[in-house]
Amino acid sequence: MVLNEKKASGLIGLMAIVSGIAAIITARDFPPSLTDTDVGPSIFPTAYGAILALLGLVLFASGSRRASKRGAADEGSTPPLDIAKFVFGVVGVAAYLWIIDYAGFAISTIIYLWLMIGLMRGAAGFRQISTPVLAILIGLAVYAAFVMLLQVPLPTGLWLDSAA
Amino acid sequence: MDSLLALLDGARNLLGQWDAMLMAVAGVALGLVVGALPGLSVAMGVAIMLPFTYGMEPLHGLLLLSGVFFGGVYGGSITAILLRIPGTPAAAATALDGYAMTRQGRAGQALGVATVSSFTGGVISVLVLIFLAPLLAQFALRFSAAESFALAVFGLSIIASISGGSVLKGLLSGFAGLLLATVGMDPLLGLPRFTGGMSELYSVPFIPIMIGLFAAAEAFKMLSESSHAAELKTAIGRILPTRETLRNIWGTVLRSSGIGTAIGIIPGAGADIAAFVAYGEAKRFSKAPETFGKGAMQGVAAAEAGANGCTGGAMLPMLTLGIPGDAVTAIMLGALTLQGIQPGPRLFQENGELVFSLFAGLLLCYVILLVMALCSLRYVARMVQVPKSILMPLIMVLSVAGAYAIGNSMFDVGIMLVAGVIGFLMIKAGVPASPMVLGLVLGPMAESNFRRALTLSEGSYDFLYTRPITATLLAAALITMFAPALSAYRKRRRANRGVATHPGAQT
Repeated sequence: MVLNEKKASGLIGLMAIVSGIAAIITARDFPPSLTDTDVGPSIFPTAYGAILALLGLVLFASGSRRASKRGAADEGSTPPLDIAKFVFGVVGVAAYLWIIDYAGFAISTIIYLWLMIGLMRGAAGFRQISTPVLAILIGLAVYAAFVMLLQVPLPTGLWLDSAA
Repeated sequence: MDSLLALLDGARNLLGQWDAMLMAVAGVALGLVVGALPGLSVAMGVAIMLPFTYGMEPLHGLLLLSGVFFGGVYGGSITAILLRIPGTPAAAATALDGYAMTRQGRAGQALGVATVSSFTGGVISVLVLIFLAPLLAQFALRFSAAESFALAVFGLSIIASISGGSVLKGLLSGFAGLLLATVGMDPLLGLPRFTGGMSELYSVPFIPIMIGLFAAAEAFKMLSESSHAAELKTAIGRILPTRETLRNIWGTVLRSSGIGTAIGIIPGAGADIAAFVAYGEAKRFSKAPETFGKGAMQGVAAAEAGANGCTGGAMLPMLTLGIPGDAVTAIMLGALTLQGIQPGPRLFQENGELVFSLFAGLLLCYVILLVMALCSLRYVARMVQVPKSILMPLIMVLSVAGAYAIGNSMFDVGIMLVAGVIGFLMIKAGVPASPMVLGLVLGPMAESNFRRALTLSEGSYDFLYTRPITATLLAAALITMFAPALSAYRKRRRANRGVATHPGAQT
């Protein structure tokens, strides 16, 4: 399955329609203004939501019209993307964020870097000694930059906290 | 004269802070690398570095980001010249003649011309910024809520001009940003809107959204691309331009710097437009226009002076009016807000010393850029060989750490991830992210000032057309908004007429 410009446009159009309508419905519950001279808190979100939904509809419809005109020939007009790769990337980051809560930033980052560098290098990626070395060096450098240089306390993780 | 004295004071203040100057050096170095690496945009570099500035003094942070901005705009030319891969959209104009020069064995000359032209363009634009900014700020001090509303609308109207290929997609992105900007507390009543009861959403998580849209989205994009790095096979040779080379390009450089600065001041017109307009003008003025595209050093000089001339110009409306002209200046505006500094006409009254120290620092950034580029171009050129298998995870890790660092909150990291996914879909759909950022920044300004103006005029909408500045700005906004659509319509009509007159021409 591939994701090309046409499909992505349709998806963005659909998201705009849903967000716009949701904003209009939610804004109806905002309390009215306290004075007659103010338009109140719901006018701007409602107007933006309505225009966004309309633009989303036009984008969605124009995509479908173009698709029916050009047919299958349009499929190859933009570089296709393996959706699995993208989903893998998003799930990978989500898992990384989940692990940070338990193992802390430093350890989770090294594991994430090792897996991603290894996978992106292809079949031999995990066999190369430079993969774990790079993961450790980059992970520690980022950690040091934030914690020591910028004094930003990155998460230490529940496991380390409970051990301490 | 006042500006000159203030600048000297600023320079004295800057010289007393060696660590601020170090930040300028670090920023330019990082910018050079970010700009040179194809696929990494200047906006992404600035967005990634933004969280690093959180704990810094305002001057230090702003110099770091300005260094990344300037270095990034210039850095794009390195790969454009050596590999015909423009590191930034503006460098596409440089590639036209720069790569031709490389193929003729004149890579060093092309790089030298690009460096000197970028330096000159940048310095001229910063000088214009220094002397024009106080005047514009003085004028803008007269603005009340009505004028500020009109100014925000004018800023928003440029969405049509920064939409790239499709006005529809640009408008959609802009209105999504405007709607997103309404999340949080109502500006007048202080009631929560669209927060779902989450206190984290009482103000729009602007910076995590920026990091997601510009950095995480690029990282996701890299996953789908080939991981092979471009290979550099060319010998670079002498980089420092000879006296004869300088004599040949100085006229082009000065003219293109002026064009770039003027274009930079217009909100929405970025370095890419400046580079191509300057290139076109250089070709028009040239005695040998037929050499353009075949290795004319004036072509490289024009494109680079134009692109870098844009940088100081773009900062003018951001600093004096609080209106960012593009994504990079929008992120820099976010950095100022993060530091508790409100850009706009009062900036010069309330933070005069900081502003003029920053101006002195901007000039310093260009001096650093000149020295660093001439000394380290060979090494920067080799850095483009960093494979995506390392870059992609590194960008993602920096995005996670950066989003967390803003408020020590994993919630912000989640927002960054969602923005990254949406940003990636936007890239695939050809929907530009810059209008969304503009909507996010200018949305609250437009809404709060409109409602304030309405309250001040006791519910009457007269202020929209009875106040001269407001009416002028709103009229300008209408023209800016509809000009691209009108021009596209005219082009289409002309093309249709051409086809009707010469039906055979179609085949």
